[in-house]
Amino acid sequence: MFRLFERLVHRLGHWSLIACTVCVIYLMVTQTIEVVLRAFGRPTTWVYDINLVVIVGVVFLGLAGAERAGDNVAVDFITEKLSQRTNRVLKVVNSILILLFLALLIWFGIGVVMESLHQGRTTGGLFRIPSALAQSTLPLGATLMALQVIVDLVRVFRPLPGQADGTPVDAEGEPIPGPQEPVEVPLKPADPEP
Amino acid sequence: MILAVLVACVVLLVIGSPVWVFLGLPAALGTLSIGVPGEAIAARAYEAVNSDTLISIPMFLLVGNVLISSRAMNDLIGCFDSLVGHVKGGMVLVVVAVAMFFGGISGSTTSEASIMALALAGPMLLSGYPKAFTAGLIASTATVAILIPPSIPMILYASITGESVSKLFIAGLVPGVIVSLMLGLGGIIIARRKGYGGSRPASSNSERLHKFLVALPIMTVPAFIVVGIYWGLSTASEIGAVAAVVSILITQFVYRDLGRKKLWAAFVGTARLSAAVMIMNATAQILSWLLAYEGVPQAITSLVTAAHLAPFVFLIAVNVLFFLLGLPLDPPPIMFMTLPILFPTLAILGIDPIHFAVLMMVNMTIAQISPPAGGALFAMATVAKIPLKDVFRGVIPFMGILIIALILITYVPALSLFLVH
Repeated sequence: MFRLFERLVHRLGHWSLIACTVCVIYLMVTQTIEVVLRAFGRPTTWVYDINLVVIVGVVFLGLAGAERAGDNVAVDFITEKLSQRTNRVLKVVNSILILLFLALLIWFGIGVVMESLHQGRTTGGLFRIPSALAQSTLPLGATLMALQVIVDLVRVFRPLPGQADGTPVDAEGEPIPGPQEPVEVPLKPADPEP
Repeated sequence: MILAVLVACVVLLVIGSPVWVFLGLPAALGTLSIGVPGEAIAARAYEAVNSDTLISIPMFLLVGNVLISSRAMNDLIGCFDSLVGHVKGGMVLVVVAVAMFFGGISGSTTSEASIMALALAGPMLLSGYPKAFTAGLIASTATVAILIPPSIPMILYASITGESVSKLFIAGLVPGVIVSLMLGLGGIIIARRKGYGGSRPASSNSERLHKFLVALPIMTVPAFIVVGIYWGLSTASEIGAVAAVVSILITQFVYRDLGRKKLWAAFVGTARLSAAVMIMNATAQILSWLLAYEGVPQAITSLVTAAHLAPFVFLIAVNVLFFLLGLPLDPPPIMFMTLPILFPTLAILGIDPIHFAVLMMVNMTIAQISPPAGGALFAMATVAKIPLKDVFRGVIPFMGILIIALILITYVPALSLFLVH
C-alpha cells in the first residue's frame, strides 16, 4: 500500500518538476524574443506580465523535485559529527518541522487564493491575469513537497535496500543523482580534441 | 518575541533544518503570535518571488548547467593549459582563468569548489603540484569567482535590497579580477619558489592556435554577459536568457556534444536548483517582514547613530560578523538573515550599498575557505579526495592574500565603484 502511495507521490512530483522545467524554458525563450523584438523597435506588451507569473511557478512547482533530489540546502557541519542514531532522530524532528511549515503555507496559501478569487484580483500591467492562477502554485507546490517529505519520513523507519548508508534512492531503490552523489576525480588531463 | 524568533532560527540551523525552514518557520509562528492574519505569511512568500529580478537566477544557472554538461570546460582548460601549462606555476594561471570564466554560476560557494575540483584537481596533480597547494588554490579561486558576473549571490543581494543587478555585476567585476590576479600571482610565486609543475614540454604554436580556436566560442559567453551588462544593452535577466540560448546553440551546433537527453537533464537540473535557491528568498521575506514590523532595523539604526560609530568601525564589525556566519553558511542564507537588519544602517553611515555588497562577498569567500569549518574545504576534500589536513594546510597562504584583498576593497571603495559611477 505504501509503495503504491510512494509511486504516486513520485509521479506527481515528477510531473510538477516537468511543469517547472517547462516554465524555465518558457522564460528563456520569451526573454530572448523580447530582446530581439525590442532591437527591431517592436517590444511586446505581454512578456513582462506573464513572466512575473511564470517565475512564481518555477519556485513552487520545483519544490518537490528539489526536496527529492536533496537540493535544499541545510547546514550539516554539526549534525554530521553526531551518531547515526541521533541523525535519524533529527531527521524525524526536521521532517515534522518542515511539515508544520508546509501546512501553514498550504492553509494560508489557499486562503490567499480564495480571497483573490472572491475579490476578482488580477495581476498588474496591461496583460491582466487572475492573481489566483499564480498564487495557487504555492499551496499546490507545498502540498506536493509535503507528500514527498511524508514518504521520506516513512522511509526513515522502513528504509529501502541500499538506503542504510543514507544514499537517497527512488521507489525502485535506484540512487537519485544529486549533490550527495560521490564523484570521482578524473586523474587525467583535459580530454584531447576528437 | 523577536528574540525568541531569532533564537529559534539559530536552534533550527544547528539541528540541520533546511535553510528555507529555519528562515521562515520561526518567523511564521512569530507572525501568528502577534495576531497578524496568517494569510500575510503566504502573501509575503508569494510576493517575494513575484519579481523580475529573480528571473535572472534560472537563466544564469542554465548557462552554467549547459556549459558544465558539455565539453566546454575541458576545452577551456585545454586552451589555457597549452598556453601556459608547461611553465613552472603555469597551471596556477589555468585555474585562475577557468575559475573566472565559470565562477559564480551556482549560487553556492561549495558547489563552485566542487565543480572546479572535479575539473582541475586531476590535471594539477598530474602536472606535479602537491595536494595541499592544489586544494588551496582551487578552493580560493573558485569561491572568489562569486564576485565576477554572472553571480547568483549578487542577484539575491539585488532582490533583497532593491539595488540594480547590473550595477552589482559591474561593481563586482574589477575587484573580482583584481583578487583573482592576486591569488594567481601569489600562487605563481609559491609554485616557482618550490618548483611545482612545469615538467612537460610546451605545446607547438599550431596546437595552441587550434586549442584557442576550439575554446573561442565558449569564451564569447561570459564576454557577452559582461559587455551586455556594462553597455546596458538589456536587463540582467534578458542577458541571462540570451546567454543561455547562445550556450545551447554553441553546445548543439559547434561542439555537438550535448544530446537531447543531456540538454533536458540540464534544464531539469536548473529547474530544481532554481526552486531550491528561490524558496529561501520566499521564506526569508517572512522573517524580513516580521523584523521590519517589530522595528528591528530602526532599533539597530538608532543604536548605531547613538553610538556615533564611524563607518570604518561599523565595517570592521560587520566584516567580523560575516566572517563568523560564513564559516558554516553559504552566502545566500547569510544575506537573507543579515541584510534586512543591516541595510537601513548603510544610508545613515554614508556607506554605498553597492560597495557593501562587494565587501560582503569577499568576506564570505574568506570564511568559506577558513579552517576548520569553511564549507568549500569539505567540498574540496570530498570531491578531489585530498585529505582534509592537506586542504587546511594548503589554503592558509591564499587566505592571507584574500585578507589583504578584503582590507583593500573595504577601505578603497573606488575599486568597486569607479565603473558603476
